[in-house]
Amino acid sequence: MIYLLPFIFLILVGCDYVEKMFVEEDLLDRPPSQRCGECHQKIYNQWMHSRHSVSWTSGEFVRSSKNRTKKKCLSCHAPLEVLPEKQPVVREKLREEGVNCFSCHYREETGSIHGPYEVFSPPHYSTYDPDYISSKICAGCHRKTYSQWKASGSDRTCQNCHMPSKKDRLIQKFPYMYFHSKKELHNHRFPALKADRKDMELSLEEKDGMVILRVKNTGIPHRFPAAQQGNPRVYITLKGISGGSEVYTETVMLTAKTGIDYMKTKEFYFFPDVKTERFSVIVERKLSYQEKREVLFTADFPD
Amino acid sequence: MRVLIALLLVFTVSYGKNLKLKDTPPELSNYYPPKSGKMEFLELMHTLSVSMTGVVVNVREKDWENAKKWAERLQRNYLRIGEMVGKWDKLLKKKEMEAVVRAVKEKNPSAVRMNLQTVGKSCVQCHKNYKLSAKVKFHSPDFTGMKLEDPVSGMKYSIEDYMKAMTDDMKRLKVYSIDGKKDRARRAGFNFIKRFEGLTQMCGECHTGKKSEDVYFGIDVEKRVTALREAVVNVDVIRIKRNLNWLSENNCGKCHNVHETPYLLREKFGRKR
Repeated sequence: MIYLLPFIFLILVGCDYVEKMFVEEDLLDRPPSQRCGECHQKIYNQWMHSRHSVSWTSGEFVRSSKNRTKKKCLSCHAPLEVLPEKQPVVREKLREEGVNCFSCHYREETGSIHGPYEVFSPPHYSTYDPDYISSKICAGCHRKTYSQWKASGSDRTCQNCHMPSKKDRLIQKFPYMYFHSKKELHNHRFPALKADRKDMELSLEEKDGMVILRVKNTGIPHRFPAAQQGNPRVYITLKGISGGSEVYTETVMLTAKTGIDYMKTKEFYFFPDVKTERFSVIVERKLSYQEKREVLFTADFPD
Repeated sequence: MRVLIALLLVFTVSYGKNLKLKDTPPELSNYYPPKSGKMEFLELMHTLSVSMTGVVVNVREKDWENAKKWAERLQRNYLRIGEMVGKWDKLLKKKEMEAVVRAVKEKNPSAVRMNLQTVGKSCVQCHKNYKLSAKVKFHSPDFTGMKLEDPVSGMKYSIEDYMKAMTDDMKRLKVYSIDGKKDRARRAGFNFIKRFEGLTQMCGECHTGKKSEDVYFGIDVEKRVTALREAVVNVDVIRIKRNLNWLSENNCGKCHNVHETPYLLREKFGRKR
């Protein structure tokens, strides 16, 4: 008989009442992200190491927005609510958290946390929202990259590449961790992936004293490099090698304006003024916030 | 005749205008970006201007209640000028401002007009001395300390050094192509294109709208750069000249016309703000 009591209680008060009983009201008032981290520890730690978490405080942003006085920059660096394909408005509180948990997951309209899963989550209301598996959710801020991606016709979404997933629990706090089965946990570090040799088709032609390097972007479904406002750079260096030593080197630089679009080829002209036996191409990048270049890949000619 | 010419010369020289811009008091920069998050002083000027109109129209329509509201608002904000910029406090016509409020309360239109004119003159005098300087210093883009990565050397250049390196490449391209020195012309041409394209690292920081982006690196500019590149490869003097001319008129010229004059004026005030 005692085992029937919970069911009788449920029938008498209703499921809605039980749901409300466990709601932690402050969670629906956009608290600091650390509050979300109490249960979603893994996601919170990933986010802490993401560029989203420093979008308001990064030195590069403070410098290029003239101490945050360029108002048009602010809304994407501390958005109140990120909606598909809409530029957000800037929020007033907790701006130092940048693009925080509530920017992306809390919706005023439903008063609940939105995400890609249908889940039972007693501390806060949850809404399954297919927007979260679509690139549209990123489009409000990353407009240029989104339109480049759209033009590419690729079926890989932003999340496919920049939020790689593995099976894990959404929650790490007892007993909530056992409320749902393991799910695809998407990386909230939003890694800026490194292009590699298989993403680019390279060919070299020597002609009339020049070396023409052709680079085709076959693997990245947006411009290489890409940015909304930042200043990432790609460097393509041609080294001429003769008698085992380097006799010539020249670099071209690509910005987010002059980069290589998906399935497009760019030609780069070099003028080695010495005889060379072979060439080596080194492709490097420097993300907006980086001080130093990092090598993405190299290619030798002849291979 | 010689005396006449000498007199004419002296007369002409003495009438040669020496234009001067008076620098604004240092505290003014506290009320403009980047020190302030908004253009506080400009907002104050707008408030004053609207309040002044509020007084004038309401006095004219004999709406004394509203005239009083606007006169008090005008006085309150007029006095804020002196609170914000100490040096300007003594230039304010405080007594006349007080008299405006009093005249409105007494419903005396001629007293309002007379005192308001004196207050207005203090505004005009200040604008005459400082408005242009304030516009140059606080309403034009600040390129101070901006560095550009030079795509040719990999070093960081000041804007002046970058521009000089780029225009030197352009001039060398012209000289070498006309002189028939193909290899040198090509090298200079490609360095010019690298540096020209490298300018996109700077413009994009402010020009985020599609229309302004189209001016500094839109599809037309891109097509011209491609055409220039082909002309450089073939060392085709006519096409090099044609494409460079197009870029100077439609790209370089437009940016210089907008930015160079305020930039040079701003530099005259020095880099400290």
